[in-house]
Amino acid sequence: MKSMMNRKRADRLFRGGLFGAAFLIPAVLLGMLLSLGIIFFDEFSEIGFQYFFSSDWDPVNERYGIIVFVVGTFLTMFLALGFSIPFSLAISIFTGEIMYGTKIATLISQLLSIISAIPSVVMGLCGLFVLTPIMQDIQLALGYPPYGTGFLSASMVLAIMILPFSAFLGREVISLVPKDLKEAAYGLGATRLEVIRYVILPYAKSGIISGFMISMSRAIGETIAVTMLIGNSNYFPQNIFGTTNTMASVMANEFSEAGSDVYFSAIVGIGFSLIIISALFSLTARKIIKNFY
Amino acid sequence: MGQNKFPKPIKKASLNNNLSHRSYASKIASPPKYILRAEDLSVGFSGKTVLNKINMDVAEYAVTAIMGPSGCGKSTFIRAINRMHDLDDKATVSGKLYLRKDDLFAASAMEVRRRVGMVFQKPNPFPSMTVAENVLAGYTLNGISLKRHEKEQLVEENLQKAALWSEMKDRLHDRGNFLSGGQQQRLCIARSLAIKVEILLLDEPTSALDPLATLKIENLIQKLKKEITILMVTHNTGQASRISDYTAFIYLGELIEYNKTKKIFTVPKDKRTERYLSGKFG
Ligand SMILES: Nc1ncnc2c1ncn2[C@@H]1O[C@H](COP(=O)(O)OP(=O)(O)OP(=O)(O)O)[C@@H](O)[C@H]1O
Ligand SMILES: [Mg+2]
Repeated sequence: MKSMMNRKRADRLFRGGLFGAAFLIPAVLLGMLLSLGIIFFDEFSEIGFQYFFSSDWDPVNERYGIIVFVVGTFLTMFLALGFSIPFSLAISIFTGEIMYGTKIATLISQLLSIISAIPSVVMGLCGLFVLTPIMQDIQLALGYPPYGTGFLSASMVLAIMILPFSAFLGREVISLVPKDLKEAAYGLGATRLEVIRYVILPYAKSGIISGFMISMSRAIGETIAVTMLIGNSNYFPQNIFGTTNTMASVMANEFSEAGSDVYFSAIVGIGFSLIIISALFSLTARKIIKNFY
Repeated sequence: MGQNKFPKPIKKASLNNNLSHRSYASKIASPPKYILRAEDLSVGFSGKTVLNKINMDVAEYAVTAIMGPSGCGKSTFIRAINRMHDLDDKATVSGKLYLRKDDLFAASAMEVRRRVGMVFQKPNPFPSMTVAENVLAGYTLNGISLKRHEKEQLVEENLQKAALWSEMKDRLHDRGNFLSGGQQQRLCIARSLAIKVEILLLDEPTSALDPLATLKIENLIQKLKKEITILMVTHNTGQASRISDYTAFIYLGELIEYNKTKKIFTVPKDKRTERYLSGKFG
């Protein structure tokens, strides 16, 4: 009888614990939004509504508009995604199907996890020392000013950084394609390539796309490496080697310089907007994935 | 499918001479008109022999059932015929297989599989494709593009053949995996028929189905043998006796007995066949 009571109490405690943990996440998120929002809206009358519509960011003259950074964020994100997709798909298919379970596949996966564990600042340094000299040569050859940095360089390094996320998920879903479906396709005379194209990829499609979504949300928030490579100018890139800033990079770059309360609030406002944009982005992403199925 | 391509069946006498010391099966008559011949067909996995020197001719335009206790090598046998073991690095296959006069181990696996259809125990329509797309999958998968009217004709013709047209004609664009198990299995049959296979291998095609769906498939098999050769594995001796013309009994990787179904079920020659049929093992 007593043990029954104990078990009931344990059960209630357990459920309470689960509920608490589950509610912690929205609470933290709300808290973050609130604290950033309070600082931001405190000076909003000074900053003004053009904040969300203007591409003029000029703290010296107290003009604050974030459109350049929003564009920069999505530009680098999509470009990085574009660079990473072919490699990610190739690695997923190679490690999840063609070489699945072999030593080579394991080795590749391990190398990828190493890449995903490299600190952002180290990636940025590697980009500066390896990529920018190459870019400078190319720019000189093509007759552009040889900065080396720019959104193209930033996107390339970003592509490497987000690759592991989609490649891992891609490998998982591809390796989970049921054997009997593959056999059915082979049984109809398909080659391996045809099985991959017409059976494996369609079956794994939603998982593969989810992988790219994860990669994209990583790209949205990536800061240090991008800050080091993007060139940090507060206008739209002038050409494909142009410099610009993302929301994250301008925050990292100017945070320590914010001399006035308005400037500070304007920077905090970028963080606030970044949370909102990421949230909107993952909601749309979910919708898109759902529509696929 | 002209008769001229067809090899002369080896005379009983010579068959006996060639194979007399191998197994009981080699001593029985080969069906009068065979389409498929296995000669000393052996399969092993990682060096362990699972199927040992099978010698067997499969009759054309007839239903041949393969029976035997679980794990005796029935699936292994029919999977050898459409070269499924090629996909498994652990598998070793030796011996000869002929479809009509063609050496199946000399051709490419893709070619063989386009002539030898396979339906599996668990219905496996492609979930990313609709009913119509599933019927046409053999063409899509081989990169063959069809005109619209060719597609429509192939879909209708083969769903008809698989006794599925009346149930599916309004659902052609539904996903294939939303059908009932029996419908899915008939869809898989239609998918093989659509690429005009010459022989259809069925591996326990009804073991995942309810009695009514099973009955439909059995009737379908009976009807199909007029235009196609059927080789099916079944656990169900009742099913073998109901629908097959020839029955092979495999035990521990050996072909123990192979004969007209009536003969096997009335006067089995081997003690092990008799014991199996009376439900003593398996
Ligand atoms: N891919 C494989 N790798 C290793 N061993 C295998 C493989 N496929 C089959 N075997 C082995 O070969 C033997 C025969 O298997 P098979 O599937 O042919 O039997 P079966 O007669 O079809 O049995 P069941 O009636 O249960 O389907 C079994 O011992 C099985 O473990
Ligand atoms: Mg089997």
